[in-house]
Amino acid sequence: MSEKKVSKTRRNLLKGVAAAGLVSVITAKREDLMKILEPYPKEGEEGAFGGVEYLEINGEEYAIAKWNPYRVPGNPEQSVENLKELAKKKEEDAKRRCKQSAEEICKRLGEDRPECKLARKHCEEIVVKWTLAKKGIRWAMALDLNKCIGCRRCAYACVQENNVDRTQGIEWIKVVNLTRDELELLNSDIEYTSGPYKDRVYIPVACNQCEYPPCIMVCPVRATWQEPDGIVIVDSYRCIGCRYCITACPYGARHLNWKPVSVDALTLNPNMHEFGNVPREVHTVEKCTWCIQRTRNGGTTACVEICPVGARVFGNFWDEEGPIQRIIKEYGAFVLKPSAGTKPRFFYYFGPARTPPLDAENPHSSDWLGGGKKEEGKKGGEA
Amino acid sequence: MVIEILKTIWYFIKYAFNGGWRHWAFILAMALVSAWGIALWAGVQAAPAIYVQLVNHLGFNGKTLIDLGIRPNEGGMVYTDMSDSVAWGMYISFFVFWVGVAAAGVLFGVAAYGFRDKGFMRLAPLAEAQAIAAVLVALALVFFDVGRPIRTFLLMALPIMAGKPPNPKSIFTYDFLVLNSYLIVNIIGVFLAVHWYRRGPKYEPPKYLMYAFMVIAAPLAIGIHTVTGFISQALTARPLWLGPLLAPRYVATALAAGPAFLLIVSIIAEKFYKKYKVPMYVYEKTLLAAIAALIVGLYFTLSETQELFWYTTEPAKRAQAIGLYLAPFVCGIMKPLVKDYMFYFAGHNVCRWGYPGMEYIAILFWAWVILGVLATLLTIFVPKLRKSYKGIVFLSTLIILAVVAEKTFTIVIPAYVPDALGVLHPYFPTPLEVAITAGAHAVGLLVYILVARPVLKAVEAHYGEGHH
Repeated sequence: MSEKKVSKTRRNLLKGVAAAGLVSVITAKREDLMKILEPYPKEGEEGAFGGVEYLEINGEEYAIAKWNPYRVPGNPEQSVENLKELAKKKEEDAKRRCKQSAEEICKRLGEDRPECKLARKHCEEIVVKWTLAKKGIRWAMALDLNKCIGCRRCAYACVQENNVDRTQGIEWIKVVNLTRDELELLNSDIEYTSGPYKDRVYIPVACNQCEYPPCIMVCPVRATWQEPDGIVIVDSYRCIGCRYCITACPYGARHLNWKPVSVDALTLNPNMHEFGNVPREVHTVEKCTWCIQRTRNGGTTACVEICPVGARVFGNFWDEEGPIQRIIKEYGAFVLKPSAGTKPRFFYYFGPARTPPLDAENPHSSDWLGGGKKEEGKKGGEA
Repeated sequence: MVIEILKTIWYFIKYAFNGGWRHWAFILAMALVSAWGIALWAGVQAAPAIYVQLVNHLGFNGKTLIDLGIRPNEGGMVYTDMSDSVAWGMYISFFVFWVGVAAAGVLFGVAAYGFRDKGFMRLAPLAEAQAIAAVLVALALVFFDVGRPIRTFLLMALPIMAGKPPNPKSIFTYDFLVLNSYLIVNIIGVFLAVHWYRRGPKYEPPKYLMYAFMVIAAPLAIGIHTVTGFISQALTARPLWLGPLLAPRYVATALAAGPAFLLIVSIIAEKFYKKYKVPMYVYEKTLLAAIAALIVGLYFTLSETQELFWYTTEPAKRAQAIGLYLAPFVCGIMKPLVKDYMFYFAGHNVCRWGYPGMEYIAILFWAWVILGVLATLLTIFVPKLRKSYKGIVFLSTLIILAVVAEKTFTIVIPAYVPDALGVLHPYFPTPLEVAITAGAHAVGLLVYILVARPVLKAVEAHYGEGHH
């Protein structure tokens, strides 16, 4: 093999590379490339990730996210039809699964028992809504850490409201128990069994409904997207269970159904939304939707409703006179992991007074563990 | 032309199956293991998902599935040890490793066809066959890993193949594209080689075809591993992956493990195929190249260690790294460094292997460092070893063990421990996961031997009779 041959070979190789590069430069238009990489850029402050399309129904303005896979571009009527059809399908499925469970209950307990009748009634009551997001709304939540006593009632209410599978131990709200001097999540204890302690701060963490959610960017099938009112939802009819979004979420807000989802007709909440608390399918991801079935229809979330100390506030982030903006102005707020660049819309703040009050001499205070005994809520393992 | 192509296809089929009893025993064993793994996957892990998708969404008859053992209310991924804390486990770990082995295949093509090196040209077709097998293992592992495999095919694979990726921002889209392209390109490469080689010493594949093959395949080879690294390295949620070093690290150790694997296979093949001879200098050069890649990999590890432990760093990152680095013999150094993270060790002896329940991660990490250094030193300073067949097999085994220790569990799992909320949830693969992973490997080895035999026969036919 001569020297000449080698250099010729190399030249040919380089020619090949240059030709391939030239072809790709000529054939790929810059606009097309940008379109692929940034399909729907976020326009301005308003709107969901990927942009928003507005439509009018009965004189009221609604919005559909452009990343919604059921949207037909430029044809809002058809998009609404698709969403309605999906809701119908999910309703049939939910009713079928509920009836299966009701039959089991009736078989086990007898036909004339009230449980049997209640279970059947729940199944008949099931309504799966497809309510759209209203224009001009961006939901946000604020939580007063000085008030929160870490009772986990929000977590339990959430499980009941959202038909979370009771057999898997999934909770959308995790309450993180930290020391008061440094709010470093690494020091958290989420398996605490007693409290509240004075030297601890309790931080309920659920989905932060970020402005730039990393979880929806990674989904290869667009099974999860941001709604125009800011809620990030998962469609369990599209999710492929790859768990990339669980990996990408900095707040541990996403949960997979690791086994067949059991529906219990007795405890079922029949008020459902197609992207919210409708019973999920096996091996699909689920997450907090800020009770989309309630909030889209003028209600508030279950966690806000149940909170015994009123630590949670839910409202429209864009409403200048609303509670969220007032809290931000009055107390200042912080978010979890701002360095993750996600711009959460779940704000934490330290309100003006502690629940229960610190002062032990105060009759309304509860030095609840008795007689000035110094208790420290450190991790159980250290004992 | 058409008749020749049909003849090549027939050549593949004929020689894939006409081996001796050893060939058949291997095929049978691999077929059994893969059937066992796939049966476990379809009957236990993915059973409810397959049932729900086929019956509820696609309108199949449920009774047949139940008769087949695919039941809607039994099984599920709950039988793996993965959880919401540790979302990716053994499957993705080994996926990363086999993507690496696959990537190395085409480098022999570059050496052979790019520089017309006659020695490497004998090895190149086998390397492409290995790439096919390795990509298949990787794809099978991902397919076994997703919760809804049929839906993955319908909603992700089909739209991407039709040119309409549902989410072009997701790196999964590109990984799918690159891996499949690489698979197809390598199938074409193997086909081209066999198509000409089988006809005898005088037939060479046309040069322009081989250039085209190389120009497409070489960037893809680096690309598959780069894109696989990109999947994880841009996630702020997992601090240990967060940094631009992950993809280069993947590529570096891939270029060590892939050639080492090929060397072993080629030396074994020389035993069984009398006319298949690869010159010694090819083995030695390949081994040295693999060691060079290994040194780069070790250097990256050193660089990461400095970043993690020299000054203060992001606490979550260091907390995850502690699970990797902590070992009894570094305890004296580690103790002052981790004193701020003592919360994790509450009630535990700090001087142990990583986190309780996750000891194997730290053991594997130190195995990577020690085996990697050992392989490097032996290769460089003991020339006797790298000049004999036995020595090459020994060194290659060392390299593979080192890279398996690094690539599999110690890259994927530690980034989940502790998880995003600081919870320490130990992960240890269950027997089901091990069996299904073994099944996926058996699929790859089965394909490897079925493709390698015709390839080796063609190489024998081309180079055997005193050619060149």
